[in-house]
Amino acid sequence: MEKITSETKIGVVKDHIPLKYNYTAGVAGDRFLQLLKQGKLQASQCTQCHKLYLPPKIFCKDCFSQLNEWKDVAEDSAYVYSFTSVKKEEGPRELIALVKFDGVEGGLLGRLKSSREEPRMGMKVRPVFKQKSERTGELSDIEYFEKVNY
Amino acid sequence: MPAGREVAIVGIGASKFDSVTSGISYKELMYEAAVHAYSDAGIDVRNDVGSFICCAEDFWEGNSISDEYMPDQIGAKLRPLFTVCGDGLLGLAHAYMHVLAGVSDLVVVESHSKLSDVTSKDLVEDLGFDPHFGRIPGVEPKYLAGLEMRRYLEESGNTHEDCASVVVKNKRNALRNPRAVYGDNLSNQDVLASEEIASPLTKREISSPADGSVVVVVASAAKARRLSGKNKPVWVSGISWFSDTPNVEEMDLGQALYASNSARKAYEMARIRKPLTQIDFAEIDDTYAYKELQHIEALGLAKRAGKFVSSGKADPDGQIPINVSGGSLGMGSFVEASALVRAYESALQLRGEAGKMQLHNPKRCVVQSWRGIPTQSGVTAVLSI
Repeated sequence: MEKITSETKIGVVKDHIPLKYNYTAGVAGDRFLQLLKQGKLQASQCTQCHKLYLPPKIFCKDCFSQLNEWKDVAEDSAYVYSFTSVKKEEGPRELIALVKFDGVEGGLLGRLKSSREEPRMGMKVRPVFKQKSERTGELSDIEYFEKVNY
Repeated sequence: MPAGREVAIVGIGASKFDSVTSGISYKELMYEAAVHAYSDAGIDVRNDVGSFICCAEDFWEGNSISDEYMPDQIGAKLRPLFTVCGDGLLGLAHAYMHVLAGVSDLVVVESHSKLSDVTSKDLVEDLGFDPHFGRIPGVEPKYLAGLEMRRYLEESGNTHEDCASVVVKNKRNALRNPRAVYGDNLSNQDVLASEEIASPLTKREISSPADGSVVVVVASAAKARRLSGKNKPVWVSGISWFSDTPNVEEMDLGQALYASNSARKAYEMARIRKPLTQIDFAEIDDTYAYKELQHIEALGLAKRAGKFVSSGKADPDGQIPINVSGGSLGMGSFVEASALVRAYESALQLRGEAGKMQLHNPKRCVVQSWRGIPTQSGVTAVLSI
């Protein structure tokens, strides 16, 4: 048998996997995203152990109760739990933050509006929503979080 | 039966490890590792083994029902086999249970990586994130490693310089490991000055992909005695696994609770009360440099891991050598198989067969795994000779 002398001729089958999914947001997720579209943030509340979950869930992961109560999240309690500046294949770097809210389990991931000032851990921020007409009922309806001075 | 001496590793085998294994299929890598392991254990695989466990994930394999493709190349045709969708140490945990439950007194565990075939590594990683709240379009999935690293350094008081010391140590250790392909002599400055991928995480703090397969043969104490081959049995004295949340918003990020919880349980099984004096060395997850520091602390090997590493206490001649093999930073990341690579290197050390890397007469070690972003899951095992 003739020897292969070029890497590109070595037997390799190239293929890609063209898969498509519809991911159901679920009872809690759907409600949360509908409210987000209206510019509101709500968490689900556990009446047993009083924890607030954001994004909301219909179950408490600590006491395993079913959750039916909802509560507005105080937007002025938002702060940067951690942040990172991520390299992108194209375009400028992106500033991503995990934002938490006082007294709430969980939080929200989002873009951080860059400013001349370097972001800090614990920095107070607020969510800035897209124009109403541009919202789609997705997490990206929050265009970014920006620093506030309360 | 003495505690911690009920289940043993009686054979180990590995394929060649490389950044690219051109022209060799994953099945051929598996076959190579299996042949070495069965010869090492002195067994006839087609007649002696009663249970086979592979550890693989479909997306890394590029094949749905990838488990169906596992049997033949490890000698498991028409034998009981299942695939664990998790890392190689989780496979070892299953083997441990199979032996104790009486499923079989001889069990084979395999895990492999053919990452050089995966041309969309970032995409596979991204698909691990929650589709509604964790995937950020246009942003590469390592954003989570950046978030975790910053939070961990903030809470622990360790520094970026400490993380660089981990890279320097592991890549230097790898130079003495004939199976390691990412060995290098670097300075802290080389690490810190490399490209920032997700700040503060730089390129050289991220382990690079590698191909390879590892096979481990596990036996009951009675079977291990009967085999009485050339190898001393390496006892699985304790093993435990924990899963925290995969939802980024809910992650603690500061602590590796999967590691501290599984370590507590594994130490309890192995009757270890003071890991610092009872553990001789550690082979632990260092997918990213900061993860080694976080894991050292979670495993109770040091209170301030940064100082521990940067002062040389984790060096091969230090108080507790950590990743003498080079770890994933020095040997490469084998995704699900990384954990079994750590177990393989540990077994060689305990058997006194680690060549230039050999430590002086080690008796007991801790092996620990993490499943990678975006998980907070991992396994801790204690191995002894």
